[in-house]
Amino acid sequence: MNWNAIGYFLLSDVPVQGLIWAIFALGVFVTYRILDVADLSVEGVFPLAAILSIGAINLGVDPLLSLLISVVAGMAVGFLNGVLHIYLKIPSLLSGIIIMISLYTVNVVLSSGNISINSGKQTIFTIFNQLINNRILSQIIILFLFVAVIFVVVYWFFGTEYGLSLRASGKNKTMSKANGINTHNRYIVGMIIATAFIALAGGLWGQTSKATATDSGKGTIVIGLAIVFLGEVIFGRKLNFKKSLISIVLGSFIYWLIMDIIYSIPGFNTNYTFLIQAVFITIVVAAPRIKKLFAHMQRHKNSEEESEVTKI
Amino acid sequence: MKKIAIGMISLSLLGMMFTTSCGKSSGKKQIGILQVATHDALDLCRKGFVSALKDGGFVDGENITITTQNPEGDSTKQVSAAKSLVLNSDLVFGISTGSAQALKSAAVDFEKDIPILFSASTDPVGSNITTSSEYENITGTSDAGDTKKNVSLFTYFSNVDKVACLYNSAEQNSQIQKEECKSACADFNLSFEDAGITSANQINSAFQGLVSKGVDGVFIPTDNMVAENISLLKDIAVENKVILVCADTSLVANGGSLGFGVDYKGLGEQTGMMAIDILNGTKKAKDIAWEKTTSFSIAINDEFFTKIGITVPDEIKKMMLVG
Repeated sequence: MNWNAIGYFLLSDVPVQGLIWAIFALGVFVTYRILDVADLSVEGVFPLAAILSIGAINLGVDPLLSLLISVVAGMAVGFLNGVLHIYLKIPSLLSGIIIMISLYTVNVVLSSGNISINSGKQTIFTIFNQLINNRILSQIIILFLFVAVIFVVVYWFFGTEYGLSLRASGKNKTMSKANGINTHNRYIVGMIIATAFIALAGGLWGQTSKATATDSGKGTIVIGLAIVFLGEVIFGRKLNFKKSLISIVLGSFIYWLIMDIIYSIPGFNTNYTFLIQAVFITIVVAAPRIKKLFAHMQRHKNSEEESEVTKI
Repeated sequence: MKKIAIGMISLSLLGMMFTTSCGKSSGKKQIGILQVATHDALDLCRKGFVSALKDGGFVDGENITITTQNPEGDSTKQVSAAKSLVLNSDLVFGISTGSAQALKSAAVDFEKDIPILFSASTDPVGSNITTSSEYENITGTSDAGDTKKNVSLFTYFSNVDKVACLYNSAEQNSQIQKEECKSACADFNLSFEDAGITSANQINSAFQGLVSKGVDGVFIPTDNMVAENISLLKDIAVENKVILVCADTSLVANGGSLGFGVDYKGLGEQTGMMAIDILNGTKKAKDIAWEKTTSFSIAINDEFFTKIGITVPDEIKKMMLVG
């Protein structure tokens, strides 16, 4: 282990993973914070998108078009997820689980366990690499462009009348209904948007890693939620919409910085990473509460001291 | 909140300082091992690799440093772990198909030409590990079982003339082994019965169906679905004197009758031999052809054969002694 290698590892892996997972976390943000549901379907959609993108490339489809295929498939899944909840009255948590487990079978059938990009086939990153001749940098640039465009479009969309009504229907369903918003329609549209982002992240992940296992979605929801919470803890919970979008990207970077540092420690038993992750998330989520508790204790102590002073 | 941000950044800097102070950049060769998850077979493979290196004069902590990363089945972390290993090692070893793919992808991305070894990958060609013009510095061992060798076991039992293969039709790996079993049966003049299932609850009825068709030997490939439910078949097999040949020795202990399985420690050792050649500089990874496993071990369930009242032929017992 040496400085240069670790520095290079952090500089190269954190932006790549950070940017991909920022898109993923944006999808989680839309369901969890805007629609106010915990959507578990992401664990099935993520590998599905990666498999579809890789499979399409192997069949000779243009890599950019293959991402579109992934995204359209993701949107279809999101639509189905929304319909299960709205029209069949299945609780949203359960509908997510139903989608997740059904996609597992779909993924196994599509990929039979493992799928990788055939040699000689291009990805969007290798095509761009021909221009600048630096593989890592081309990944970072392309991913940055994706993130920049998506976040700008999302910011614009959720500021339009329709986007605002979508946000409103997640925040306060009854009030939104009273104002004539079709909350059923908004829920399904929100699901479609969120799942599209998850699928895009999955497709991009598939093209950067060039291979995927059927169970690569395992644990992704935890990463997504951790990033959303991390952003909120660092930059504050009551943010305006623009700042919460930025906090997602920064949260994603910090999450992968910490993960990658763990992987850089020589001789570290990586079996412990899950426990570390769990402790880390607990701290992150509980931080505001702990802070409040400390402030409360401090105040209590101060008032006690004051009362002692008055006694004297 | 700013304080927390500053705290985190300084924590990460501290972590980096810690990592650098620990790592001494000495002349030792750095070996990176990426093992996809903790699993008996994969653990044995790693141990076999390390012990072969030791026998070849490369001892961890003396003249080499071995770093093992285990993402516990988490594909997304595996990618990061692979990058970290590729950047920090002189030779990397990936245990499982996914680990090998992640290491190769990292080496390609960083344009770092280091020898990559793989093991415990059933189909390195189909999974694009060995077939690539963009990265050739890669070799290793496949854990594909020897179906014909297993089917040949049926021929030692005079009462067996109809053989079936019980497998999950959704697993590609099992499909391949079923085809191999079919052709092996033809070679040995055994009649063959296909018994593909799609769900674990079908296993019982599928097996009963086979018994009623007069099947007296069943081949069980390395199929996860059947493997998990092998104990369900135990009693029916005893009752109907059906011999279960398993392509995994651990299944024999759980209810199978006998079978040749891949010896993962031997597989790791076989890969370790390749690593020794590379570390000694006598060969380059690209000059070593990838190999199928040569180490099989046979397991026999004596309890089963006592119950059905058939004695295991001596020829098979001899195979056990040879190893």
